[in-house]
Amino acid sequence: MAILELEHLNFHYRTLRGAVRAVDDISFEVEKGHTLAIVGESGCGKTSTAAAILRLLPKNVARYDGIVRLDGKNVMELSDEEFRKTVRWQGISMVFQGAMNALNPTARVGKQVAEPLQIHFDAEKEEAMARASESLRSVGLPEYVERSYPHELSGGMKQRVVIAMALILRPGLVILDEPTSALDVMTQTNIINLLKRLKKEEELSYIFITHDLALASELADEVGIMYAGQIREIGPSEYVYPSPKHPYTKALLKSVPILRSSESPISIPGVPPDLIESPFACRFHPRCSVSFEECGWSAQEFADILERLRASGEDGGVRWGEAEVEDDLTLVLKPEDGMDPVTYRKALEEAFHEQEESTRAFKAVTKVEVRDGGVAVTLHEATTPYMIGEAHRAACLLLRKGGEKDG
Amino acid sequence: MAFGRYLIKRGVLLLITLVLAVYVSVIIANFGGFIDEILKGQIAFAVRTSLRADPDYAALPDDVQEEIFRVRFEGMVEARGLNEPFLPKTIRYTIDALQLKLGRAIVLTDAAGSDQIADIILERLPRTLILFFTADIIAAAFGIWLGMKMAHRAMSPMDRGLTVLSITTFVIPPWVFGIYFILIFGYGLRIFPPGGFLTTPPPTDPWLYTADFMYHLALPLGTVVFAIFGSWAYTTRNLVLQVMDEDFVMAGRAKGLSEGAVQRKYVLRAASPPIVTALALTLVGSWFGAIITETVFNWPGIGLLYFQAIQVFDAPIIIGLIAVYAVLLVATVFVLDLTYGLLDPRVRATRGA
Amino acid sequence: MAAPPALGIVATLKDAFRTVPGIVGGGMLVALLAMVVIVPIYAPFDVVSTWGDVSAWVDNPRLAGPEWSDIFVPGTLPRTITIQPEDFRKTKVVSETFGITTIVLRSTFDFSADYFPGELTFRLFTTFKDITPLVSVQLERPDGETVELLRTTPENQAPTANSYPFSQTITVPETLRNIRAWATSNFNATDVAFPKPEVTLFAEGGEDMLDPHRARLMRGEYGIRVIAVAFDSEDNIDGRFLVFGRVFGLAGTDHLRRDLLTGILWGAPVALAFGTVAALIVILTQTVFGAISGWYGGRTDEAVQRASDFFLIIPILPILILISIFYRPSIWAILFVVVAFSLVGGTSKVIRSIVLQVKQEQYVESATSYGASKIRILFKHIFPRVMPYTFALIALAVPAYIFLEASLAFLGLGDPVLPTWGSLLGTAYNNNAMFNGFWWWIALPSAGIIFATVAFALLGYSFDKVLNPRLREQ
Repeated sequence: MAILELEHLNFHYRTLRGAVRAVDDISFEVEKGHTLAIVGESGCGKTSTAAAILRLLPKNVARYDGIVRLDGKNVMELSDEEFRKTVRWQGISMVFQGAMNALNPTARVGKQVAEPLQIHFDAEKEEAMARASESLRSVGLPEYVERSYPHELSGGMKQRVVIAMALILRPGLVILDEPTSALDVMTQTNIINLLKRLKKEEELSYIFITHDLALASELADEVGIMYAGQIREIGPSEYVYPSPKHPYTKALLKSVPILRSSESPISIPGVPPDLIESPFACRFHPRCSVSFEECGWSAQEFADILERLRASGEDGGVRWGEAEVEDDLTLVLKPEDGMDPVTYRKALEEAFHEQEESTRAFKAVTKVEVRDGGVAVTLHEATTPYMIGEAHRAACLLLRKGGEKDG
Repeated sequence: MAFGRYLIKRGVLLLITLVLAVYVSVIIANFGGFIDEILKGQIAFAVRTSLRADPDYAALPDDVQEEIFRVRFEGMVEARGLNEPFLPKTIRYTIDALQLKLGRAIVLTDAAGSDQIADIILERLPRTLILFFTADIIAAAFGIWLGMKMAHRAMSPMDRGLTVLSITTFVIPPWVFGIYFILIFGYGLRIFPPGGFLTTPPPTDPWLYTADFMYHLALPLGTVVFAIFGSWAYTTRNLVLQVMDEDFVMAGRAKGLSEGAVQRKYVLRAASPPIVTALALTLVGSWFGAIITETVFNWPGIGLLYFQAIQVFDAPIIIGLIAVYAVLLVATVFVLDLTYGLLDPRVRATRGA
Repeated sequence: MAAPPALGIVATLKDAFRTVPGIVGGGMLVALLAMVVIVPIYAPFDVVSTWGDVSAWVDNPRLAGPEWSDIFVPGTLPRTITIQPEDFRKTKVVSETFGITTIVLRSTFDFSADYFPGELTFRLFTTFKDITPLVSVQLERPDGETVELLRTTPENQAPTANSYPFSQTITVPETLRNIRAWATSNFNATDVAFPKPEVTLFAEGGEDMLDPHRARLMRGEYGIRVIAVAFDSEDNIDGRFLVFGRVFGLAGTDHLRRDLLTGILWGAPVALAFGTVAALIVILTQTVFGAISGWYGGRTDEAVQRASDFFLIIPILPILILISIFYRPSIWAILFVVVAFSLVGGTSKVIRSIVLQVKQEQYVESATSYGASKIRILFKHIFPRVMPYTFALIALAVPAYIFLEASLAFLGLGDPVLPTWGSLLGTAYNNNAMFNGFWWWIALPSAGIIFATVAFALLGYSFDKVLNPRLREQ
């Protein structure tokens, strides 16, 4: 049975440059007692997903909707006050990224761990403190810690405090946001082991947010791969790790260094996408090594690529000339130094064809024709990928192609 | 305890600064031998007065009188240490200045007619403290409240408007507002008295006396508050905005604290130490500002005293006031250090170490 | 605190001038600079020496409000009417028989304002051989009456003027005597204790014409006639008649008839120069010490830190006042003292903390690891990083120094000769301008100060906004 189900969750916020679509139509579920790892590069919306689940919204929120079902009940329908009293920490608690900053620097640790008991159950101070010290002990911390201030503790100790604090109300689900990213490897291992033990003892469910695919495999029952605010592949880790379906997952797995292996890790070219002006259709297409004509090239993107190639001198002997974007799919190239448009058209067509393996965008060229003293380039229309599959699903146009072939 | 040791170290440093500041002023004032001349003049006056009181002396011939005067005068000058070399003399002056005993006032007196520096200054000091402490407390309370409101609605039209208002009011010193407010409320609308701290003659009934005092206090107080609340509001706003982004505030919310509790227990609590430091300078600035602010309002505190002393060149008072100013500054800074440490456990640890 | 964003000065300026406070502050600064440019055009003379020279301003009305104060009252306030020597029609009759020469000067002027004039003054320029001529000055009124204001024998030879300020009844008592006699006999006017020549002469004839509070204004064409009887055919007279108004120029005048606009305009370059130079030197010095303190650490750091603590606690304003009283320094000497007492301080603390963060950054660490010398890194990497902050701090410090100068000048301790905003205010305050309602004398110079400081505050704020990402708009 699922403890948490998300359906079409959206969470966008406004900035000066435009709306950031940090969480864009995300759906997944977490089984009771399971761990779902959400993996992605930094800035892909992982932490925003956690914030959206706990309704921790910034002031500049632009869109927040969808369904969040906790134990079968849609908590999106609750008022802020009901949500605060029943869901936060009691239903879902969270271990924040960078424990050093997740503790109030001006209050003693014991008080902070005990605080949720006082907020939610009006517990007496002594009783709350007793429970807090019990909880601190259960994560392996010595007694004096409860009387300490956060700055007096080491990073690993603080991380344990934060975990103890997250567990104090015995919630069904704990969101772990990069719980070990700032720690050294030994402490990291200790914390992961602690999390494993607690999960067994307390029958917890985890959402484990990380950028580290290898670390995720330690804990995850299911793994979801996030890219540009969307889940692109999700499934049981025993399927996803050995046979990833999405090119991005494959690339991520290849970028993980493996000890004592002759293969060196391969990094993904390009930069993680902007959540404000996300690429069209499949958002991964500009960095994808197997993309093809339908993946989502727009005329503007195409023009930018030509410009970049020209700047780096990789234009293959053809001067691209000035590009003028006409609409989403058409751009007009003007030949430089008075070249005859007909010759120019031919040269372009050849260049596009020759370089289409290295510059995937050239695959999207459907028509190159002479027009008004220039050459008009028409691109293929894009198709937005959707999730395909049952337990192990992914969103990539190649899968659909494969499916058609199989079927 | 480590923090205690830190405070002691800090206290010693502040005391050294205090002494040095007064020493520097004494040296500046005595470059042209000003203090020497004043003290010699006062000794001569004292010797003559005491001699004149003696009938036997008056009977003596003039040259003998003059000889007796000279001997006595030089004896006193020697005893007072005026002929000592530069260093011991200036050190002696500094110690005298710190005890408010460097000579007697030349022109100014207190209400009872005493020309002792300590009497004159101590009569004025409470009035300055009342005006500026009250103003600082009101401005702080109002400014912090407003700053939290602004941070809460950051970048809204209200916040933008108040931000501009805050920065423009806090660069302009109180006395400039004072001039306008006196013109408007004192002379234009005649709502408040344009200056002074009591009507002449003051009411005898203690209630009426207090009411009269409050009535005179209102305009300068309002002016100082208006001039400095913006600095509190703007500083609070920025610090609160910074703290609001911190993970532990988000954690507080996730724990299920109500918004009010998050603001109180997490945001304001964590922002308070830097708020206190950032505003150390406001407080210090208002002590300096008193010189002109009080002059404009004709408020008879130490600021106006300083102005009056300048007008009549009353050097002993000026040096005494510098000593008092230095003490006020040092005390303010020390209290701020203490508060900072009490508010922020991290500081207690790092500064103690 | 997050690491400071790596912005160059140019990028910072560009961004800052894109924000609303940046645009407004920049615009105000341009207006101030325009004032600096206007001064030599508006007052093409040596302002510094002229300002202290009372005789340079005698033809201006005394304590007149600005001309636009009309908007606060119904009707029009009188402007100054000046009848220059060349405006007079001169007739000279030489009578050989009697050996006398009669010279008559006559001119008319239209008085159409809605209030009585402020003062009347006549200046007589005479040249005579042995015996002083006999001169009579008469006013002709629109109702046909003629009043003799004065009959006198001028003593000064031209170009020195013989000045007859009719409104100063102590200096020229005869005028008031004549007016009293004329009003009581011709109009049966009731006498009062303190009549004013400029009122009665311009009042409708009648019972109340001697009472300044009840007299009614008479508009129309007035004439001034001067008759001189001289005793040499070469003798000559010329005159200048002044009907002073109650308003003058854009900023009015002070008690010495000085045009306040000149003083206010002149205050701009002084304030800007003092404020920016002081802020520039102080902040740059403190930046250098702060950067050295943060970068070298250890004993150097400790020494700079303790020194900053010391300088922060020194009561600088009282000491500055002390120095000003004892040594009357010029504005630049004051500047020197300010700098000497601010070598280190708040700014060095701020810069030190920024340097401590920059020190942690990879490019600095890598520069260290490839063997760049400490001093080289300080100049090549650290200073460029902190300069934008220094810029913001300079802009924010300028108002403080403008006010410092104004405060000293207000107390009468500023530069002894320069007219500055602070000294204008101080003079106004000492002459009870507030009590007497000479609001322009106070409000306009202080508006100048406020304008200049707000300009810099807005600029500083806009830099701050760009440099401090937390304040940036989300």
